[in-house]
Amino acid sequence: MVSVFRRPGFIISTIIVLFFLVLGYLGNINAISRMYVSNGTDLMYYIGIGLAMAIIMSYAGYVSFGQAVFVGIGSFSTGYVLVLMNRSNIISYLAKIGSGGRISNTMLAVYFTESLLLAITISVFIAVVVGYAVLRLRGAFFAISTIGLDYVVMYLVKYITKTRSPFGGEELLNPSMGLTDMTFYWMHFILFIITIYVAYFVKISKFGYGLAAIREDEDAAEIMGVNTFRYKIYAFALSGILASFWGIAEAFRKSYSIGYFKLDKSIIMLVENVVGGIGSFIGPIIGSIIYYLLEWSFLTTVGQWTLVILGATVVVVVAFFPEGIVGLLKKRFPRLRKWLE
Amino acid sequence: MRDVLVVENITKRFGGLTALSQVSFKVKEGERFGIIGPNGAGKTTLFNVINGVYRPDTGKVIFKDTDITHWPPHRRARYGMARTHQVVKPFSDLTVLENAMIGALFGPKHDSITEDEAREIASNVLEFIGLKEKADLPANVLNVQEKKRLELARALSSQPDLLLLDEVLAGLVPSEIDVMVGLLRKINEEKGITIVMIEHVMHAIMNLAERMIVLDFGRKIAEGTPSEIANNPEVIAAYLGNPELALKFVQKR
Repeated sequence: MVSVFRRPGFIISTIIVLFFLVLGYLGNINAISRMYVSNGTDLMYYIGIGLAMAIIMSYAGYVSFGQAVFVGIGSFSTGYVLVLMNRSNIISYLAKIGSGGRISNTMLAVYFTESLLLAITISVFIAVVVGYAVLRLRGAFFAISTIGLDYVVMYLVKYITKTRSPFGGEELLNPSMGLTDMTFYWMHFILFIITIYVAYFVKISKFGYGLAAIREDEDAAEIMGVNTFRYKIYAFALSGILASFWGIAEAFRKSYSIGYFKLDKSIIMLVENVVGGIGSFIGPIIGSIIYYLLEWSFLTTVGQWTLVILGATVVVVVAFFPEGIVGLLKKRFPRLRKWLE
Repeated sequence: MRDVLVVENITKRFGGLTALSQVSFKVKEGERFGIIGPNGAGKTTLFNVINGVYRPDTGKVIFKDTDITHWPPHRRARYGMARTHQVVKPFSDLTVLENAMIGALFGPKHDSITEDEAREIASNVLEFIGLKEKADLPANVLNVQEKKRLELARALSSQPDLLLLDEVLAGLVPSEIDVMVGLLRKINEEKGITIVMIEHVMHAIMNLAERMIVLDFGRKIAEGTPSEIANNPEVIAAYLGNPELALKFVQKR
């Protein structure tokens, strides 16, 4: 068997990671390059949430409208860590350096790690509790139940943030604290490396084979010895953990917002998978890049019409290439199959 | 020889319909055991009870001296029971080799097997089954006969002790049936795997099975060797129809 390091998916992941590494190093030269850094940060976010969704949707074949909940949990965790846990620290910092002063990289790393741990804990808890109930459902019934998940958790969080005094309203304290774009870029980069390699190694592992079996025929998978229920819960939780990472990243970069819980975030993740092609690792990456490029180019040209045009694009893709871009490529160029893991 | 599978007084009802009623039989280790009967007799339901898709209303399933009546299907697979389906269920988007690998990865050796070992077992099985040259094609491009073989390859890759075959010969042309029958005999004799098979192709099962039971309306109406079955008046009335024809099947071997 080919060693993992020479497999197409690993090579492609590494090329993408190197691309972002180089972009980061070249980024801080002038105003134009800094614009690309900002684009690169966005792109990592989009690929990141696409791959998080891929674990449950592209690998296991379960369409979930609820994954935005986990992005929301990530951003909530960061908000909680910054505002509640370390509030006194921050205040003393700001008092010392004056508002707009930088917090040290060490403290940043501590907050970052705390956010990760908190987000992972909450995500696993919700994924297991919810998964235990709804992963008995299949197909459309599962999808619909996850819409419910989205709203329940969102209003629960709204209630909590409104009734706890330090949160004030929906918006938390803006946690950016005068950090530069480059800091956020490297934070995204760390999470990006974790996300892309975790997603790839899941795909080629025994777990990944089990999920593929579930996607293709769940009854046959169960009869062949795959513990389908347990695997689905693992996939749901892992997808949730990875999604929460991107909530953390965005909360550091922008701010905590209830918006991260919203259904349309789930739909973006879902569209990235559908456009790229279900069943593969490369598909969601391609889908995310295309989605990002389209959104970016439409936002700069047609502004408010972006969503309308994106919606129309999705309709066209689903109508004409239901297997997504990867499915289309596989059909047209069977020799590429090996590369489209 | 010990009994590898013991089915005791299985009754299964769906609402008001009794699909299986007090069915009992024993399968010895290394045996080729047949289950025949008219359409709707409960044969596939019986398989579904044996491998855990359905829970029986009463009765027990004992596999390798362990009561597995309440085990979920995946646990039975890991304990050494493999099955093929009447309506094939390939993992369409995966390659033929990957299909077989999944059988190996999640079979009885699931907790110790590596991916490389699974790949090797799978490709050996594909060679044995005669699907080697299709190994890297996606399963959905196979024809019906090849898909039937793939079902068998997946089941064999798990290296089971007991193989449940649900009409593997259905839909095959006579020449393919002969090849498949030879293959099944080889699986049983060379690999020592116990086979329990549902079949409608009479000359094949009469040839292949050492013992068999006959189901009719969910009841076991007969049990015995193929020639005993072919001469059993109740079976002839319920299923075989023409006794002379039935005897001819047996004599062919």
